[in-house]
Amino acid sequence: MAGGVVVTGLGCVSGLGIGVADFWAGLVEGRSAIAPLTGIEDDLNIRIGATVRGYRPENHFIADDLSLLDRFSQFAVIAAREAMADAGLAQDESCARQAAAVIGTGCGGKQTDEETYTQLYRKGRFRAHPLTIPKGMPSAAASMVSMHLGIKGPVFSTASACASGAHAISQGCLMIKAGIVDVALVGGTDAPFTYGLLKAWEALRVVSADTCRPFSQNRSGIVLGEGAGMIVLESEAHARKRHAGIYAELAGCGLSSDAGHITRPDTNGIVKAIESALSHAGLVAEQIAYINAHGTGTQANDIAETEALHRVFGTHARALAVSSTKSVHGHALGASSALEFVATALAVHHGLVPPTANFTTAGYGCDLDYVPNTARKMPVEAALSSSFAFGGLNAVLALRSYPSEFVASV
Amino acid sequence: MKLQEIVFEAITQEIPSSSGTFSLQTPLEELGIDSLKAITILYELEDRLNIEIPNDVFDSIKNVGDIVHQLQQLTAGSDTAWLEG
Repeated sequence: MAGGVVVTGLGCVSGLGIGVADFWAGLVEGRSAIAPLTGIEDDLNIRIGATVRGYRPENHFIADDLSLLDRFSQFAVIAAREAMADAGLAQDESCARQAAAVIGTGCGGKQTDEETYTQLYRKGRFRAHPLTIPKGMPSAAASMVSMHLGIKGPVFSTASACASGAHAISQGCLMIKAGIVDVALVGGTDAPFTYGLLKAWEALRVVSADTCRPFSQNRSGIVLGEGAGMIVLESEAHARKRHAGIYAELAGCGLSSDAGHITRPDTNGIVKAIESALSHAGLVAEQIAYINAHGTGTQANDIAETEALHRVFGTHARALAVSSTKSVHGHALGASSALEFVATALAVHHGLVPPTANFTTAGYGCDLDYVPNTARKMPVEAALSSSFAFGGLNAVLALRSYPSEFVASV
Repeated sequence: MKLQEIVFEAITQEIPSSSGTFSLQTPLEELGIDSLKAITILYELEDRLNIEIPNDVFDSIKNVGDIVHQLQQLTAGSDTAWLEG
């Protein structure tokens, strides 16, 4: 029996709504979820973002459960439920008991922390809310996914800023390849729209007041998003045995660290991560048709990333379709790389590449095919999902299309 | 408002389904109040009564009446004349 790792379930919460169907429809249409923020403090300069509009927690959780769930945990559980149901494993208690869950987050339970700090610092309350630690700890989402889904194998969280979800996915992949588990629920989640965190991002001067325009000449920075992306990974043998629908194969993971600057990306680190992913996957450069780029829309990232693609792919770089879906779902920090992995798996599955939305004209140093504004139907034999986080923590995931007789029917 | 009513209200706020189902003799465990819920109830009572409830009080409360009793002792002689219970 084959020994690969395959994708059998997808789930997400994003600025495009609850669920994979709305997410994919929005991506393919290039319909950006970035919009003016409502109900925020007047002294915030950040006025736009990709929030989950119309989200009502009580539609997804009973009151008793909600009291223990920070917003970032809520998103994780909702997306995890969808992914497990999509994989046909929602009712399989024995499978869940053996499964792993690895959930990345860049921020943790900020909403909980900030509510408590507001009470302490601004309102003079002498005691913190007793649930501050269990709700706010970065691993809370992983614990809540475990509790709500009955997952009792290895469960933990990963934190690597904007690559947190990708590192979680790679950990799940490696645990399956090592024979530790047959099934791993992996992904990332974040809910960064709090006053303090928006102020902190504001101070970095990398957030756009306009919109997110990756690789465009007039790009002006990132736009924050929120949500969660969850993926069911499964050993190929386990998936085939139970006749699961398969979206794609997770063929390999490439991880590296710049060991350089805390915010500035380093082309060498990016190159190393991409080359490692190709090598681990047993793919050659010419097999890659699509790259879901990190593509933040900052001056520094988009140039460094483009340069790295030239160095790795040589003349094939011009044949690549490269798009940044952050233009649609925003930069959802720890969730971004997981949402982008979902997008990449669907691109491979459907043979349809989502565009870079909000694209105008190519920026200086950005001379590749960025699939501007319109989705493209094309065969995608293999694809990469790239994440290059603050702190120089890089993660690249390689997906390969799976023989059509086994593919998922969605 | 009597102290007993304030305690009943705090419990009902934390466990809405318990409304009207308990008395002073009801064990907290019977209401589904585990240690995490118990400290949350004490947190709300601290805020409501503007007092600090020491950690050892937490160890001594087994039923609803224990909470009322402990709070009576903690508020005795303090500036809580508006309390009748």
